[in-house]
Amino acid sequence: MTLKFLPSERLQDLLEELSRNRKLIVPAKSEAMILFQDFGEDVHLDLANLSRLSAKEAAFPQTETLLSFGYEKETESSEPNKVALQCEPKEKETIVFGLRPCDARAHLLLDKVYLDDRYPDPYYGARRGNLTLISLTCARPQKTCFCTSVGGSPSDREGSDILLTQIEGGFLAEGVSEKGKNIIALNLFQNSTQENEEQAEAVKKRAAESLTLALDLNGIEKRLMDNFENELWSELSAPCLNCGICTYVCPTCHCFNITDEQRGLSGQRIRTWDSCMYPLFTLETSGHNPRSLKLQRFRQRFNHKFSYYPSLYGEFLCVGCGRCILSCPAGIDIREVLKESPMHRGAPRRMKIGLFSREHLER
Amino acid sequence: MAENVVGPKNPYLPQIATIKKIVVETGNIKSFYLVLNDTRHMENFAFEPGQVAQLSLFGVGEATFGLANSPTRRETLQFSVMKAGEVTSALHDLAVGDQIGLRGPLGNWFPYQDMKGKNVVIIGGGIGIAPLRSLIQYMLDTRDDYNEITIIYGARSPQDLCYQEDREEWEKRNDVDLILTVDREFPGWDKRVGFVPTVLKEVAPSPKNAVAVTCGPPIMIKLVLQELEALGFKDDQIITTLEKRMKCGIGKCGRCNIGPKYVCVDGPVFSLAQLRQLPDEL
Repeated sequence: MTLKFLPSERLQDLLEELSRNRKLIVPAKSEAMILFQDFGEDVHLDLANLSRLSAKEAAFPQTETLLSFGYEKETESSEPNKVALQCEPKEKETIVFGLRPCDARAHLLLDKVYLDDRYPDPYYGARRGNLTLISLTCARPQKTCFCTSVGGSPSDREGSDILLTQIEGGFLAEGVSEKGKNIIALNLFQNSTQENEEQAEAVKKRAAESLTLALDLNGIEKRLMDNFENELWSELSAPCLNCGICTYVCPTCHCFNITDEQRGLSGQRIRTWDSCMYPLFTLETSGHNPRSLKLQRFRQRFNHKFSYYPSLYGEFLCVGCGRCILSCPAGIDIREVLKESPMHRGAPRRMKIGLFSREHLER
Repeated sequence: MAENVVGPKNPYLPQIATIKKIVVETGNIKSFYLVLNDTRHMENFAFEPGQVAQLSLFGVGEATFGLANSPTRRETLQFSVMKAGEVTSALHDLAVGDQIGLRGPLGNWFPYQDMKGKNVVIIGGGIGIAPLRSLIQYMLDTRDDYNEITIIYGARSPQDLCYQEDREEWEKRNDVDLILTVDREFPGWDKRVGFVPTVLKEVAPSPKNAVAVTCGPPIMIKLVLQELEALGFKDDQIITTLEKRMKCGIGKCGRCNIGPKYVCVDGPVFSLAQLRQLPDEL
């Protein structure tokens, strides 16, 4: 670990330096909320509050072109039609500055899906390979934060290239990766003192201690499966509007749709964020829908995060940022669902909603 | 122009294929015989019976289809498409010589190696016969590896039965037992009448040293599973292939899961024993 000190008055210089020939995005005030925005003169940096959306867009944009296509002639023509394809690389070097450690760690969870051995995703991979994450210790976690319950901490270094901790007069900078170490080798950074380091430790300690909730998620992966058909899902999902905001603000939700758009002879195949909360997500052409009911979609979200993903990758697909809690118009709290939920209350009652429900098969 | 510049391997980038032949199977099913434009890719296109591919109509979208021919007969890549939604309707409008996109092969395949030496009962309904045809052709081309082969295939009416040429071949051969059925009586139809599960019950194949492979509409599969169980078939003797709405086909977009399994990469072929381990969300 390389430690350095960045005086507050050099922060602007650092951001200007980092934005040179690169894309730099920072959390900044945008009317009523804080969002990650391209760094520039009119951008009002806000490092104190949690951004409304996560930083996942740098590696996994809300919309991106997978390929362009062009037909030789109008489709009405009676002659056979030929088509040509083109892919464009999107490999611009990008730095995210001032994201929370939970958001940085989320990238490691997305990597497991997108950069697997079998089908590594070249679009995500190109962006991810050119991405540098400079996180900031979460000095004052919000009431909705629960990172320590799902394997993180307010000063977690996992996934970050640099971890900054705000202290008196500036920031203690920890170079985590080679990329990060190269940046803090810039002469904007000074050597850190023992006092700087002690102050940073105190900030981290105070932050961790403020998170008093400890969710018992031991064995949740199996408990969720054992209670798949528990009727309590119906009760828990009742307030849900299926609006999808929880998946939209989530740093780890990564489901997407692929659609084509055409004008004249050419067009694009586009990838966009999608959500398991929407009935169209799984609707089949025949009209059959394996997740036609609200409770099935609600259940999918929790099961994916705390059972399916863990069974494949050994970690929860949640970093405890609490954005879904903050944004939910119906007041659904992921912690309450996990705490209270089917899994802890007595013997499960069975629903009969599945097409191949076991009652039919086990006669 | 068609070079992939993102990386050496891009699983989202389709190969361009040309339609070489179209067979009108029924009123709403056409079979498309495709050849990849890149001859090297066509030669190297290695697939197994039961695997699927994504067909692309650029500007309309992509959809998943099972390969309907056997790798032992791979001069073309064949897909039987029932006109149902946007992509399938647009496909039905195409003509010989038109170009479409193809991504594949994707997914797993029928466990034909494990089925060697066994009696195989194929049970298909409607368009569900398409992936089974790949397996049937494969077994007929390696006939000595298998014991008795029984095919129960049903459709609504005689006009709704696909693969006339194949059916003629299967009927002629004395080493395969073909049982055709239609939903009700039709003038000139002298074969069985009745739904597939009912006919399965009448035919009553023995579970001894047997494997049953079924594909069809969900309601048919459900009833066929019941009949097979009543006949004494165990969960690991029953194989089915599933359909789900899919987009990426490579286990990322998140919509085709049944519990922790993705139908696109862990399926589409599952034994009933495997399905029993999964949540009931088909």
